[in-house]
Amino acid sequence: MEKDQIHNLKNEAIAQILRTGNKQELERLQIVYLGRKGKINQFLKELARLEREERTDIGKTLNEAKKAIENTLKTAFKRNLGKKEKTEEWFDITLPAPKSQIGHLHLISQAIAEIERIFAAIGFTRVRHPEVEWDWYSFEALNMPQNHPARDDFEAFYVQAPPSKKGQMCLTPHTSSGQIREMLAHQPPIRMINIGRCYRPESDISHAPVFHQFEGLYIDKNVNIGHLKGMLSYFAEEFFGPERKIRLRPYDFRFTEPSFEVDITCDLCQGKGRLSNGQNCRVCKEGWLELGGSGMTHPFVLKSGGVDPKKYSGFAFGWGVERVMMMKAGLNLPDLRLLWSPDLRILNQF
Amino acid sequence: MDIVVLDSWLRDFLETKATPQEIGRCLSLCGPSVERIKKQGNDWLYEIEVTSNRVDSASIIGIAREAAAILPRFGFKAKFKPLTLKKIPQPETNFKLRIRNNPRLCLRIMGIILDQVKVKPSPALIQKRIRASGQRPLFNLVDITNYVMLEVGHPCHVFDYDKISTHHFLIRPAKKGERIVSLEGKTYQLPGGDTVIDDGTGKIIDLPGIIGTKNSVVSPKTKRIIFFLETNDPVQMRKTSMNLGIRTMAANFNEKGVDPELAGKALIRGVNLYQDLAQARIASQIFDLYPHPYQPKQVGVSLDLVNRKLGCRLTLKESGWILKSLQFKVSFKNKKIITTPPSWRDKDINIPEDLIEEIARIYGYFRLPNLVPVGRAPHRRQTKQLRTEQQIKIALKFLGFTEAYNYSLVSQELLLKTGVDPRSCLKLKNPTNENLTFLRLSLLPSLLQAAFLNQNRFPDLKIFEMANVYRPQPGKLPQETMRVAGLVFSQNFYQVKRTIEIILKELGIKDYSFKPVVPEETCLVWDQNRCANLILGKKSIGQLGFLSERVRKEFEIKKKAVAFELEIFPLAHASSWTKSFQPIPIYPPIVEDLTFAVPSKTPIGNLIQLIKDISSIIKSVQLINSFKNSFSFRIVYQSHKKTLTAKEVSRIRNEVIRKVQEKFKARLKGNYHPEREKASAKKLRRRQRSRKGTGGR
Repeated sequence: MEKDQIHNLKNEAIAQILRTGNKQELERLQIVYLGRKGKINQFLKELARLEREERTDIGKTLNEAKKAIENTLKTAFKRNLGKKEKTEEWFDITLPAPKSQIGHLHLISQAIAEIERIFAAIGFTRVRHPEVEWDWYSFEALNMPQNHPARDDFEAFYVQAPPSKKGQMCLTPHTSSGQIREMLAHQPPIRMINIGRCYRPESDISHAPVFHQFEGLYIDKNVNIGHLKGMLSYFAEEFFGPERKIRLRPYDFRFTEPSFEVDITCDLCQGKGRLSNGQNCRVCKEGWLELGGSGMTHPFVLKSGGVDPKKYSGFAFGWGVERVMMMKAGLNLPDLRLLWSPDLRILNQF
Repeated sequence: MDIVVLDSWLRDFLETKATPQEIGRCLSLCGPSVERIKKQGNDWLYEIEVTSNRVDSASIIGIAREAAAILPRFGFKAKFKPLTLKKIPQPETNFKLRIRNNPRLCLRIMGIILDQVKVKPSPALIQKRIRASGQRPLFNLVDITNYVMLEVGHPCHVFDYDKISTHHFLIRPAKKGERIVSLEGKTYQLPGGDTVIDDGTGKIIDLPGIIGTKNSVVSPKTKRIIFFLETNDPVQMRKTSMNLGIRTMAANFNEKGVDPELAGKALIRGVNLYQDLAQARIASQIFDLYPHPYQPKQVGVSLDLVNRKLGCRLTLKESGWILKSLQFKVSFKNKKIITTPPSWRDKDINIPEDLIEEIARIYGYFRLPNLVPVGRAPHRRQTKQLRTEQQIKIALKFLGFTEAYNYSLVSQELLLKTGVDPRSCLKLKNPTNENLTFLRLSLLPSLLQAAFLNQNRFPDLKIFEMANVYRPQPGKLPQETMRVAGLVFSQNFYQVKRTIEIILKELGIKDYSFKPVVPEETCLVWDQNRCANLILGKKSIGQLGFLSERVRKEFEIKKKAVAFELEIFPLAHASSWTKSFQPIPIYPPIVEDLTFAVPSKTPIGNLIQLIKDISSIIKSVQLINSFKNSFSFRIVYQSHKKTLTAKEVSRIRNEVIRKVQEKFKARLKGNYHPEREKASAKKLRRRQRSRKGTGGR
């Protein structure tokens, strides 16, 4: 028995193993070479007949050959298994995944989180102020004197409670009382975004008696209309997307001077006011939708908040969370009051 | 205030070549908002919203005046053409009328008696214009009053002179409960304090500024008329109009405060029209009761302030030119603009900022730059409260809960159904609807309603809400506390307990416990035997548990339900954003299972806590199985100092067995089974699954 014979055996075995891709053939080769009566064992039996010195040397070679064949077989089996998984077995990815219940955040919560994020990025901190208020904060301090129509019973809810020095108790009809609270509690510069529940005795497709507003207030030295424009454009682009444009229209609010109504281009008619079939767009007014009011903080209001109007100026806006959300492209909610429905067929859509 | 303006009528007072679309666009950007432009035959209609401080522009002439100032800024030539008025001739006859004013109610009263009026339909043009403006043409005597109001912007009225036998007008406040019959034949009971005209005998013959009455109204048989205008106190006008629900166009004007100076023009315009269209003859002097005539005033602003507020650089000349175009009288003094506003702007121009607004809007907001806030940002950080709220909402969402928003106002019925005394809640003075009358003290009643509504379609309902509740405090504003409440259709209390534990983990709160409720202290929403308080520190900050049979019956909820309601503030306060690293233990743990048979009503949570407290070597104690009164616990022993020996573990184990037996009268069952940590994960999961069956124990 020669070393060469062993090498040949090894090479032959490895060649045969590498050539086959078939599991049965591999099993057969395993028996032929490594089986109890296999070729390696045949050599082992012959080993006994050799001289002692030769025996150690040949034995070593034989052992190496056996190891090599074993390893090759092992990898071949592995490769063979892998092949089968990849090519032969059909795997159905269309089968439904096991159901696990996923919940839903309310659209209002989603909108509030987004508003909070947009303003946080330019240094406006979200705060919270009372939702049940003395009417001094809700009206008087905001330059709406005793007989102002907004203070009528049909415009604001009042609470059965004894009045205080700060007037009657009411439910905040807007978040603007937060302007006064914020200024009284903090020195300028102020960058506030106050989000809260508001209440008004009205109910129709675009009004619910309970709703949310977000109130922005920016007070610093030399704040001008350009800042207000810049910031509201930034908000509109972030919230509605860059293709929508805003404009300011003169308006009248008691707590701002000058006052503006902010409009945004209608997404249905792309701001044209006419649909592609030539008909007037029913959703908007000549291509524009009203986003909400804003303006430069009235000196009276600054004084109410203990801020010197000679030193500081600012702007404010108070918009409906539900209202701006309904103006987002694609939502198509026909009635704002649907947001206050507890029906899961609605809530689970979002 | 919404008005409709006919393009051809507008052009009686406005000379321009701008198209209706151009006029609409420019007006919206700088003045009254043109909401829609509609074609009307060969004419156009503008639907315009006029803000309530600018009632002076709520007329054809008012819009023309604005347009004449605005259009040139856009490169359109435009000129305002004032109304041409003919002088009223001397009276031919002199009929009597005695007017007694109450100057608190009427700021100015004007009137004139006209004789031999010929009643007939108005000419087609007048009818067309009235109709286009949304009013109904009747016959000339009435149509003229509407026409003058629409054109000039001052409401006016016409009486049948012969129906007022006393020839006496007494302006007085109405007594409460007095009745009138409107010209449409409707009866109204007056709330009291309303401005009325009395004929001197106590009989009301008009509700001025709001609506005419039947007993003095002109008819096709009328021969002699009183053409009458009064400038009313806006506050009283609004009160009466809103209280009676009469929202006539006149009322809409009057409640906004009409310029008394306008009354003179409107009177002459009206008389001219009566002369032309009804061949009226002048039959009295012009009555004019005007106790406090208009006094022009001055308002000024420095150019510096204008430019600081606008963020741009206007010249003195340009600013002045803008104000002049709005018919302000303008002079300059040391870089200051001094103006005298026209009478119709007297009420809304008072401070420098008012002038800035006029300059800015006519200059054009769209011409101003878009800037970003600069300078030092204030140091205010987001509160823990807001962050906690958001964390809880997101956690609940991924735990399968759907968020609802419910009104914070509820009905008395809802309160009673949940056993809440309505007197403990804040109540509205002026509710519009009995379902929205009380401010909520708890979020659960609304969720119970939601559960009822959804129960047939959503058997696996999991719903939550987060909102303020309002607890009254004597002499103070209510305490507003943010809460989160949830409701799950389930037989399994522990599922909800787990939900809360996950939230607490998210918030980094470790120090908490669940304690049985004290029955007297809970409301009847809860099943008192299956309800717990969540304790943070030493205070209960909320409940969780099964809904009581009673409340389920009240709300007709068929399925068993587990609910919770927690206060956010204490959670936020206890929450921690600090993360700290624990070294990974290098010495192996020893894991073993112990099974105890315990007497019934043994609180297993307390038993586990007892074991945990025995030694710091005990890293965790987990309930892995239970059968009847037998409970198996998997205990992990591990030291961070060394590998534990069997002897050390045995000492602690004996302590565990001794204490559990002593404190809970429990008995160790069988042998304990020391296991290596590797214990098959599969086996463990199988056990956990089988545990579910015993959940409702």
